[in-house]
This record gives sequence, structure tokens and C-alpha cells, in this order.
Amino acid sequence: MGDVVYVDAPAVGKAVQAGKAFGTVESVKSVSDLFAPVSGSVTAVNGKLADAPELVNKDPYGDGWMVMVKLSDPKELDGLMDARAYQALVESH
Amino acid sequence: MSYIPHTEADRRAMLKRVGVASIDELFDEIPAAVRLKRPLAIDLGLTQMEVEAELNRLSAANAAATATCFAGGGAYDRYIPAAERSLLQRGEFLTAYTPYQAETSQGTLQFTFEFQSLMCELTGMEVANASMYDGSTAAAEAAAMARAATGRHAVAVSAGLNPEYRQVIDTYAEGLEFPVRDSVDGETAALIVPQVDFLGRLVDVTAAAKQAHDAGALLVVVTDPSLLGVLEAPGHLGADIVVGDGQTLGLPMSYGGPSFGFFASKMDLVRRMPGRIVGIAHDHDGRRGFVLTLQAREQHIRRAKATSNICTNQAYCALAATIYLTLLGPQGLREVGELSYQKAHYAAEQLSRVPGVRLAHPDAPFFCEFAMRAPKPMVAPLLERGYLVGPDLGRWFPDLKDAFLVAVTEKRTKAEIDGLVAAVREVLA
Amino acid sequence: MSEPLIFDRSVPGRRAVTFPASDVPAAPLPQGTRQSPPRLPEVSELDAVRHFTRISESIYAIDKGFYPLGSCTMKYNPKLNDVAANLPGFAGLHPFSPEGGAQGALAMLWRLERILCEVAGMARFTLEPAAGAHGELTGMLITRAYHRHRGDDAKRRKVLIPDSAHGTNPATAAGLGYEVVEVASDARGGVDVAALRAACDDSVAALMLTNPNTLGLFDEHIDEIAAIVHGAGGLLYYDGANANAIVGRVRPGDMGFDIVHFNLHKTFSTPHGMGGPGAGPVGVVESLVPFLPVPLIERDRDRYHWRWDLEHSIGRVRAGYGNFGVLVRAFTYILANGRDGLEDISGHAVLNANYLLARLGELFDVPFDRRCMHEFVVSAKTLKARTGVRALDVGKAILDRGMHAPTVYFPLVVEEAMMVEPTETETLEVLDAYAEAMAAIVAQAERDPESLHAAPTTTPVGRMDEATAARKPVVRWTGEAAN
Repeated sequence: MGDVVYVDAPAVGKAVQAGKAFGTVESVKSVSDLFAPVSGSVTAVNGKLADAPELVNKDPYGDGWMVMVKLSDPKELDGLMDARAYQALVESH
Repeated sequence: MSYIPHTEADRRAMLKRVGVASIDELFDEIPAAVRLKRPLAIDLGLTQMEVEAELNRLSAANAAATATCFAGGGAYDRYIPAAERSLLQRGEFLTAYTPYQAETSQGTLQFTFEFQSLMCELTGMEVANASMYDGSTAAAEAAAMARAATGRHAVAVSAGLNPEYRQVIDTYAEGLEFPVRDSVDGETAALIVPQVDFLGRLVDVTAAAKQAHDAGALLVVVTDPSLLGVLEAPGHLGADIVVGDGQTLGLPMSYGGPSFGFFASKMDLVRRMPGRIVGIAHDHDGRRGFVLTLQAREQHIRRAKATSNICTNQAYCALAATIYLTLLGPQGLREVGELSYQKAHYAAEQLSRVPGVRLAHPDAPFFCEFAMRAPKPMVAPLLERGYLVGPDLGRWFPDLKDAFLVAVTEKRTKAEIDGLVAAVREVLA
Repeated sequence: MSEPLIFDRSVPGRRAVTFPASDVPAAPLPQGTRQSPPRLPEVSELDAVRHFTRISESIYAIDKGFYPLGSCTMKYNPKLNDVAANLPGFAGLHPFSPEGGAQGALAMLWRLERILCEVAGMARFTLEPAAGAHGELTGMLITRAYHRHRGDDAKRRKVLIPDSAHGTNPATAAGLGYEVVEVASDARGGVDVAALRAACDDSVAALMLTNPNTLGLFDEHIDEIAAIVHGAGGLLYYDGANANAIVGRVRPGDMGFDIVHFNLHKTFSTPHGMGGPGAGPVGVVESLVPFLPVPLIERDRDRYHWRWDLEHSIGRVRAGYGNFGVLVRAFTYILANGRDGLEDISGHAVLNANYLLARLGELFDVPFDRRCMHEFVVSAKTLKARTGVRALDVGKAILDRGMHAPTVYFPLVVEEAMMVEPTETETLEVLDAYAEAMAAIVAQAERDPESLHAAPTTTPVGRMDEATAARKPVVRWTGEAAN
């Protein structure tokens, strides 16, 4: 989707549900839903993204994090892939 | 009169290149069952001279347009400067499309940025969009935006709001399925109040802001921008969203349209704002320019999740207002407000002296418009004497069955006001 | 050389317009007047005239050159239209004028409505909607009211929309709380009839359709489509964005549509004005007339008046009676053209499009090998694969050649789409010049693709950094030098 210009994340305390949209991410000419990989409640939101949404592009696994979620079902983690496995999946298609 | 340039030779060459024998053949993918098999039942085309004569005839059959105008209720006969009228005839302004190609539309984008800035200056707000259809739809969109911003359900509308605006809000509310109430409660997303009500009376916006904010609602103020050279900016009185109609900023009344709606708010609401917004940008050589920005809110990108379905705005009318405000400057706009105020008060005083005629709200401060009661209908007989007043108020207000509006702008002279008073005397004599 | 902001030309005390001194006794101003004046520009009349003249010079417009923006119908806007709208009896008319003092305006509106009914094959039109999208909103409010009246609204929650539709269609339906169900296109670019049939049941409120669609293709199965939707109890909504292709040839009513909007700023030549004002009148079949917005115009012998008592009216969608000045322009255009002229318009719009398609089809991919209507879509997919030059680059490069870009990346169903609508008012020479400019761009792409990524280079500014603009929006002048 190109350069991220805005991240609309839920407020601290909001519940998120695995597989459901919990916010949106915008580039100049597109907008996409953010899907939660796990269920739980939001415990922190990355305030830096308000001023520097480009962090999502530059450092998605570091400073570009979006929300922290307290898991309601840690077992959901078992079904997830890490970045390398996901990359491999994408490339195999 | 046809505007098609093709010669017979052109048509032959083009049909040959396309590989068909006739223009009709180009339509052969349309199923025969649905095709129109007769000519349209419309007259044959006319020459330019004939068309102009016919339009002149229709234009001349509107006696109300040439009467001396004291009518109000949301549209007003204000002076439109010559330089504005002249600049607006430029084909670049008339015949360009929406500035989607920023490189060849910098002028459109720049004036829109200036327009947004002017609307912010007038209203005391932090961001304004590039315009809406009119004041009534801007008010309805403000209601929808307040609901999205607060997560609340209902809107409250003050009884003094222009009744046509109220009707439009009701229509949108019916479609969007939200309640419209007369007072604020715990479910209210927005309280919508006019700064000057439909009957010309000044409204205490500060008190309305307190009422809205105490209930956790936003305050939407509907205002006449031509009065904001004199009246305090609603943003300085606690408004969260300010909307209104821009006809009074240099546009002809034109039987109610086109004009434009303006829409301004605090910056923290910008991502929910409907309509186009222009921002400053720089090109790759660092040159300053302008672009449509925050576009991810809009229908052409967000489609089913857009903040509004609005696509076109009223850019040309917004340009008219931009030129108008530039030509008037702060002093000119102040004079418009003050002259209208002075002349309206003179008119109210003089009319009140006519036996049987009285102000409907003698104790309420008003600006340049007021409701008069009279012992018999006045609008039609005054028009016969060359004066347009109104509208009659009984249509919307059961307690004002004998009342009509009188509005006075900077264009009216003392002689014209005295003439109206004399005509009123004559009708009642 | 960029033009400064008008605020930066301001010098305190400079004036352009002054007003006569008050000729009435002074009345004291009310309490609560403005503490500090709005910071409007203070300039001379000449400053203002030069500023707006210079601003206009950097705007590309139909009056300057070819503007084949797909789906926008950028045809010539006759000057006579503007002369008519500015006649004093029209421009000076107050919306609350008594009907007796506005008979000329009312007669004009009545005649315009009758003409639109005839062109669309509808029973009545409301002239109130201010734009195409506003017409869509009106049409869907009518749809809602109709189903509600039948006690059917609770279950009719779906609106079907083809994947090639304009963004306003889904935005309108979703805004009213409908679930938008996208219907796929078939291999010939029309509605996939099997997919439509599968999506149609008693939860469907309406199908919104543009025909010809945004690919410029006429849907050959329109009678079957209408039968399926009507069979399921839904209504057919006609988005008139592309009506320039069909005027006088086929009518939405005869195709089976129940509700129609026309964009007067497209088909009926009213100026686009950089994005408005437009007008989007909405027509309906007889059974939906009671649901139209109020007021409607009526005629008793030779007198005209407004009617307010429509049985199931959705109410008002706008104050006043619509964009009257735009309606005058459209009426003027129709009078000039007449029935013979209107038929010539669609004929030559389609001829020009097919001619340009034949020429551009030699340069780009043609996704649907069919006859087009008033517009067509070609794709830069192969060009991009071969040279790296995209539709966006081609569009920007054509700006450097003094002409306007096609609509790019729309409709969404075609990769690297370029949507071209030449309109009927362009000459053969203009079309040839466009085709030759495109051929030169393609040749340049083969030779020096890099140079096209930098286009345009001859315009007042180059490609803008939109990402930074959206991240840190500066949307008004604040009086600080940062601008």
C-alpha cells in the first residue's frame, strides 16, 4: 500500500478479537483494515505514530509497533507464523 | 444549433477507420428490444439567436427578480463587486474539472487553500473543507460527523434553525436512521444552533456551548458568514463545528442555488470531515505547491467506508467567495455587517410606526432581519408595488400566522426603505 | 514562478471595495460583537485581479485544450449557457419569491423536467439534488422509503453494485446502512449474470448500475438483469454518469430502470467549475412518484406552482429547489440542440471514442475486444512489464505535451487502467494529435523510461510529495512564515 500516512488504532482498554478488524492504516490513496492476530484487550498504543506514521514502513517490528494486547487466550499464538515463515508463504504464491 | 464539429468527410474517414458503415451501427450491441425506435418528443434545435430570445422572455417573466428586495430567510440581496463578476467569467475557472492532476491544477488548489483559510478566519476554526452543496446539507453532514466522532446516537436541533435546514436534517436522519430531538440529553451527539435564528434574532452561542458540552455533546453552529465581520467568530464562543451557506459572500440569489456550504471544525475532528481538503505540499525539487490531502477519508478511495458520499463540491462558488472576501477585506466586511444592521434597525423602527404593524419580537435583539406582524397578507400586494418581502412565516410557525420576514442589506438606501414603509401604509390604508 | 498566497500580498489599510456611508440614523451595535477582526487580505483591486488572473493561468481547462478524462464528459460548455444563467430575471430571483412573481423560472423548470422525463423514460423528476452523488443519495432514500412503505425494509438490507462502479455508489448505499454486495464482471466486461442471480434474493433492496458502465461497455444483458432484480423484489437504480452515450438512442426507463439520476454537468454541458456546482436531478417511474422529495412543480393551464403534499415524500434533500443556475444552463443547452441535436451528441461521442480506441489500441492493451460506447479503457500492463513505465507515468507525460491525462487506475477491475472519454465536441485533428502524442510517449518509454518517471517537467510544479502532506497536514494559512 506504499507510504503509511496515518494509523487509526483503538484506545487503551478496548477489546480486540482474533481475525476481526480493530483499526485502519492509511496511505495517500488507500486505506486498509488492521486485523488482530490474537484476542485480548489493548494495554498500550504507540503514541509516536501520531507524529511519525512512517515508522510503520521504516521499522515495523521495532519503533513502528501499533498496539500492545493482553492475550485472553495465549493458545491463539500457536496458530501464528513469524515474519520469515510469512515471507516464505507470500513468495511461494 | 449544434456544437459538433464533424464534417461529412471527417465522419466518413472515422467510420472507415472504425470499420463500420454508419453511426447507427456503432450502437448495435444495444439489444433491439430496449432501443428507442422513434425520435424524442422534444422540439427541434434552435439557433443561438432564437435560444437567447426565448431565455430573455422567460427571465423577464419573473417580476420578483426586479422588485426592490427586502426578502430574507437564508438568501439575501448583497452587492457583488464588478471585479469579482468579471474574473468569474474566465474559462479556466468555468471549464476545469476537479484538481485530480495537481501539476495542471495549482490555481484551483491554491484558491481552495485560500478559501479554507478564509473560512477558518471567519469562523475561528482550525480546518475547513473545500465546500459542500449548501448550508442545509452542510448542517446535515455536521450531524452525521458528530455522531461518528462521539459514538452517540441522536442530534438536537434548536427551534430557531432555518426550517428548510431542519427538513433536510430530518430527511438525512430518516435515511441514516437516527433520532432528531428538540433538546439535549445523554444520547446527544450534537446540538445544532444558529448564531442568528431564522427570525433574525441573535442567539446566545456561549450558553448553547455550555449546554452541549455539559451533556458531552458537540456544538454545531450554523451562521451567516457575511455577518462575521461584526459578530464574534463562533469558534471563539465554544463551537466545535461551524457550518452555513455562502450565498451571502458574493453569489447571486439565483432562485436558491447554486451557492455553497462551508464546513469548519477543530483540527482533532479532521479525519472524520466530509468533502475535499487541500493542503500544502512540495515537489521533488522543493517547490511549494498544493494537493488534495487526507483523501483516504473520501468515497473514491474508501468506497463503502467513506465519511460521506460527497464527490463534487461547489468549487466555482467557493472561488466567488474567495474573490469577494479578498476584494472586501476586513474593513469592507465590517461595513457590510454594520450597514445592514443600521438600515435594518431604521426599517424596523419606521415600519413599527405604521398603524397595525408591529415587530413580532420587540424585546429580542436582532441583526439585519426581523419578523413583522400585520393585519393582512402583505407579500403579494407589496410585490405589486415593486417591493419583495418575506417569506410569510405561518407556513412553519403556527404562532406567526400574521407575520412575514423583512431583511435589509447594505444595498438598500434610506429612500428605498422609506418607499417600502409608504407601500405598507398604502396596502393597509 | 509561483504565485504568493493572497494573504502574503496583504498590506494593512489597502482597500478594493468601499461602501457608501450610512444614510440612516445610527443604532448602537449589539453586545458581543467581534473582539478582533478576521485576518482577511487587504489589497487593492488591481492586486486582486492580478492574483486571480495568475492563478487561473495555471489551471488546465476545456477552454484551453483536449480534456479526455474518462467518466467526466468534459465536452465544450457553450458560453450561451452562462449568459442565460446570468440574466437578471434568473440570477436576481429570491428563492422565497411568490409563485406569481417567478412564473418564468417555474415555466423553465417545468419544461426542463418534462424534457428529462422524455430523455430518461421516467414519469417525474425532482430537480433538487445538487450533484450526482446527491442524486444517488436521493434515489436510495426513495428506495428505502418504498420498501418501508411495503413493510419490507427490515429484510431488504443489501444493495448490489458491480465491481466496476464509481466509488460514490457503495459510499451512498453504505452510508444509509445497507450492506454493499459487489457483483463481479464477466469476461465481456458486463455484469456476470450468474453471479447476479446467485446474489439476488428477498434481502436485495436495489441494484445500482451504470450503463454503459465505467469500462465504456453497454451491458447487453440489461433486460435479463432487470428481470432478475425485479423478480427478487428489488429496484433498479440507473447511475446516469455515462448518459452521454445513450441520449436519444435508448432510455433507462425502457431498459427496466426504476430510478435514474442524470449529471447535468456531464451530459447537458453545464460547466464543471473545477469540481462544482453540478446538478443531479432524479427521475422515477410512476409507482415511485409519491416518494419524491418536495416540492414538485405543477402546472394548472398556463400557471405554475409548487406542490408540497406528496403522499410518501422522503422530505427535502436541499434547501430551495436545487442548483437553479445550473438548471438554466442545461435547459439552454437542450433548447439549442433539440431532439435532432441530442441524438447527434450520443452518435458523435461514440464515434469519437471508437475512433480513438482504434488508434490507441495499437499502442496499449485493450482488455475487452468490443465496440465501446462514449469512452473506453486501455491498459499499460504490457508497457509496464516491458519498460517499467506505468499508466501514471503516461498520464503525467501527456501533461508535458499540453493535453490532459486520461483517468488512471480506474475502474479498479483493469490493471494499469487508462480511461479515455473524448466527447463529441472534439475534432478529428485533436483526436489524431492525442494519438500521436501517446505514440511518442510509448516510443520514449522504449528508449528512455527513466525520463518518464520524472514527468511532468514543464508544469508549474512537478509530482508532489503527497505522503508528507498527508502526515503533517497544513490546511490553512496561519500567519506564520512556515507556509
